[in-house]
Amino acid sequence: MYLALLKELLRNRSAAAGLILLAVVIFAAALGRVWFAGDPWEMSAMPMIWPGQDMENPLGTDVMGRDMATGLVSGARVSLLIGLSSTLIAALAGITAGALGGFYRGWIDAFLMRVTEIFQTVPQFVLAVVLVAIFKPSVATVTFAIGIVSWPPTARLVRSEFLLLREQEFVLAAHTLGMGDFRLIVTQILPNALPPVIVMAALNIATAIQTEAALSFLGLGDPNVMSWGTIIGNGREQVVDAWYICGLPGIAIVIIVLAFNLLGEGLNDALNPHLKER
Amino acid sequence: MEARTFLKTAAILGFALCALGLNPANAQTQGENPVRGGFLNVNIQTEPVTLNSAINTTMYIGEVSSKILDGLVSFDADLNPVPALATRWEVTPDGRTISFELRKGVKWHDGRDFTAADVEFTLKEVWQKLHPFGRSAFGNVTKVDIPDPHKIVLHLSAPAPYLLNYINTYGAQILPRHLYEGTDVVNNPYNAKPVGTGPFVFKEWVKGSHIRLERNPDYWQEGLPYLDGIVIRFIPDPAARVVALQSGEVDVAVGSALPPTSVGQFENNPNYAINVIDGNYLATIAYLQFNVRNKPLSDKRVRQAIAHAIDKAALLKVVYLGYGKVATGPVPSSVTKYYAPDTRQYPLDLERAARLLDEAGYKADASGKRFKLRQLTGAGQVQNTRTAEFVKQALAKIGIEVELQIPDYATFLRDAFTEWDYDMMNSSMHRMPDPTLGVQRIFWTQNIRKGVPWTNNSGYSNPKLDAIMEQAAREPDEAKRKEEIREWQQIVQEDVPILELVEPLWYTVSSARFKKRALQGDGLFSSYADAWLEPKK
Amino acid sequence: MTGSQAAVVFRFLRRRVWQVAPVVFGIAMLNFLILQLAPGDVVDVLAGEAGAATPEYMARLRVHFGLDKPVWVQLAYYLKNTLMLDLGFSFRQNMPVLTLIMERLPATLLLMTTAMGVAVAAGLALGVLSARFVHRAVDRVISVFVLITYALPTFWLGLMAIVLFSARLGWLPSSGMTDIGVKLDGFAYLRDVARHIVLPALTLATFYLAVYAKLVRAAMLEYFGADFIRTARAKGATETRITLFHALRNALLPLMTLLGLQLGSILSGAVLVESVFSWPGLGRLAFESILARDFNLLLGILLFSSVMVTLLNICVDAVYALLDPRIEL
Repeated sequence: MYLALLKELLRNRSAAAGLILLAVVIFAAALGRVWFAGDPWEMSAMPMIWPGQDMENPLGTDVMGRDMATGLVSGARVSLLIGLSSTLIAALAGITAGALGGFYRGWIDAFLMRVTEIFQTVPQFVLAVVLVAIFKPSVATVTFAIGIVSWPPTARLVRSEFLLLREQEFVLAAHTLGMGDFRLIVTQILPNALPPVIVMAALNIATAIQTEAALSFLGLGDPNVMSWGTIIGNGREQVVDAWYICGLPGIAIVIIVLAFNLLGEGLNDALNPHLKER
Repeated sequence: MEARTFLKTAAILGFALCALGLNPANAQTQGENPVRGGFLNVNIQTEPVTLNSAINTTMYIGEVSSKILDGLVSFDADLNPVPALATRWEVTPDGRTISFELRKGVKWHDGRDFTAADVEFTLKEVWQKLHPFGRSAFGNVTKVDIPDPHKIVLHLSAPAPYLLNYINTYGAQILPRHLYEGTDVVNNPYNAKPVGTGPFVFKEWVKGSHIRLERNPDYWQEGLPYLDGIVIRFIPDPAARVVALQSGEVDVAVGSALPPTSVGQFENNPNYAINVIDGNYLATIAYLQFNVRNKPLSDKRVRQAIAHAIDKAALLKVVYLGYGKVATGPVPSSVTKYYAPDTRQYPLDLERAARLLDEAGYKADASGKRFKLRQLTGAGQVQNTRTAEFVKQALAKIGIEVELQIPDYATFLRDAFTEWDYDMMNSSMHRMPDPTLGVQRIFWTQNIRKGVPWTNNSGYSNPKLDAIMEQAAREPDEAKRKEEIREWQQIVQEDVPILELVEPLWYTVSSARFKKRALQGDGLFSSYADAWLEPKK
Repeated sequence: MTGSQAAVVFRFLRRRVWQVAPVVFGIAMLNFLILQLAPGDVVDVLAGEAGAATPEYMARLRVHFGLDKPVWVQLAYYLKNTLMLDLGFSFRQNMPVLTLIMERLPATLLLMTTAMGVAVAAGLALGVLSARFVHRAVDRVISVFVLITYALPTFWLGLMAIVLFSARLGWLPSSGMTDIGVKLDGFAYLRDVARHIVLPALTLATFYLAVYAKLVRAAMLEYFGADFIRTARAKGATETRITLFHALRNALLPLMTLLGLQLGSILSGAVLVESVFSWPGLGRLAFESILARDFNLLLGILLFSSVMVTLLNICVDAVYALLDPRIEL
């Protein structure tokens, strides 16, 4: 099934474009690890060298003389790490809440839906800022905060899938055969509810990367880790004279977000074939 | 950074401007032919939370309230007192009585007369009770006499030679008794719409945007102020502040409101002027402080090693772009009377640092690592976070791994001053014109006080030093006091509970059209009565 | 409106309010409890800013602010006050929270509605164009444009806009809502605000514009295959007429739903955009209050905005029903 999916993806234009972009970013980050292996915080040269001015710092240096290329490479790692792991947290939380609500219905569902509503009503980014500020900025807290604010859509999605699927014949059959609730949820319903969740997760990664950048930009990133948002935040006061310090990491964010969005769209087409003609 | 790469970097960095203190641009803000009229647009770094400097000494509050409310004096370019609401003052030889003649015919903005009763009220009810350092500055005042409505006499339990350094509008702002007496001073509504005796009258405060002040026609100095009014604008984004000054949206950016990286473009430009003496009164020093309760920082040699590993000159260039001086001790160079640079200094010397660490028993492992430390600073001040990043890199060179902790400001204060939960912290502190008030608090054993910001949170305690500081506080003989304060500096430079890094300059960048009659050492808190805008050419 | 209609509306509102009440209560609890976990309180900040303070002074401030009371007492006070629409007092700003919020609200509402107006209008236009010329060059260009704008980080776009339009070209102001130096009135004042709102509103609008364009296109394509469109076509309606009157009307419904869902996120976007452009609104107030640990103010803003989002959602439902008579209130 997964091989077929991959083939399908490669035939889909946006998915292919997304995969290529993603591969380029990962390749650049990996290659960069070799070429720009140094410490991204090392103040190794004159501040504010423009890109292309000096071949020792091909992408220039920031306001404290740190190499931009090394920083961008480090940022790619941070963005991917936080994007993926916070999406994982959101997916797990969302699936759990949605599956329980959709499967059991009744007061569990009502309660979980109220909780979901609460999290959807509170301005999400503000909540993320509050959480990070309270638990001190670090990679772990940022990941956690982003995960916490982004689970509700997944929960709703999983719930609606479960509401539909639990009435299907194969589920009823499994139930009649005496399968326990947990096994029923995990082995029968969940695999069938998963495709749209995967699509949502791909899009979620893109949003998570943007949120991480925004938090770092506001000074709420892990101070020991250089992410793209950190570089933009550091270059902010210099944006008029040395716009490339903010510009380059921003372009990097656009590329990676674009990659995940395209991938998500492609997955959507591949997993929901009836929409393909549009 | 190895020594050689370092030299290269230092040479390259040499481009950063030096010796700004001598820049002739200084003089540009001083003018001869005042012009009447016009509104001045001033930008300050952060919006204040109240406009009463007598209960909250945050710089940004003073930068605004000083235009509305007066002190007894102001300070000239050399930090000598200039009469404001006090016209004359006298200290008896034993130092226990200080008397002030007050200016006659001064009116509050609401038309009431200003008298000695206002001064007495503010001293007893506000400075002594609520002012953050007024309690220390005026702590010795036990009795106040008012022989006539324009004379006030203070009786002291012991001499307080520092007191006269704190009677400007920032150190001891005078509030109208008739609006404050019998009220909850901290929550008095007039804190947000002050009524003063100053050259400008409060008109409106649009939160998040601006404060508008208008000319006081009944100001006590005939013919002043020259301006019709002042608009103080708040622009939180530093880049936007630069654009605002360039586009003429603001005329003056006070208190280092512009990022240092942007000041260069205003230098040597005839359309702009840069003033770097406005903050001399504050005498700020950026420092790295050690929590001496924690191992291995409890060992003096470890602290000295760290001191030898940090190149302050490079720090000054990279972080402050040269806008400042390398600090040599706890008393800043602008406090010329007590400044003592001939104490123990710590030039960059990585070998010596390594040797000191070896001696202390912290040998490097196979990968060159010795131990790990946490370094704390508050988010918000770019210079502080950058200094932390610089220190982290510098200490990596001698095998000390630093983990940065940069929480929001409130958490920083809690961790640093209430929980004492850190190994090293960096920040900056105003040392003010007198060491007894500004510097003693960070070394004194009695000032190891949990939960109070800007006290001696390093935990450093030295009875010998305590005795010297306490003696200096009540020493009426100036020469002796000078010697005591020198000895004090020698001791702390040897023990380094605090590594003094840089004396940053407070720079004011303004349009060249902005002029003042006289420059002030407390220029951040200048009343602007003598300021004007030259007509556009 | 007839009597029975009024009764329907009333029943609808009553039902919604009953659904909303537990959510609002939950948010109030959540806000309060999260912030209780925060280290550091407003007194730490006040004393820290002051430069020096005595323990007695700080203890007095804590009593004054009610911070010495047990947590549950503080919560009880908070909930009681919330019910009475009293959001408390910001000790740091020395003003009632509600006053502060109300002072900043108009600026944020102006920014949000302008941005949303632009986003909806442009999103509709682009979506309709795309759908009308599906798989043609126009559609492809719009798709690429939408993809890229969707990926742009708002705060970064704002910074770049300042560089280009304020600093380099000098066309538009970079910060604030008005030129304070000059006193303007009437038309000149409106023009001044309009000049200031261009950059922040467009920056905030880009992301939503992309979302709406995508949504409108998809929804319209869905309806192109529907029965009633086929009927219209059979009756001889032109393609343009079909696009504009039949498909578009139905595409508006999902747009409304999405708009309602996104209200919370728009306020979040405002935090970033207002911080970049110094726009004196609620978003910036929220961020400043977090940094300053101004609990009461922060709680107030979070609660206020949550309630606002909830109320606006009820309005959206009502409009929804107007657009689609099949849906009952």
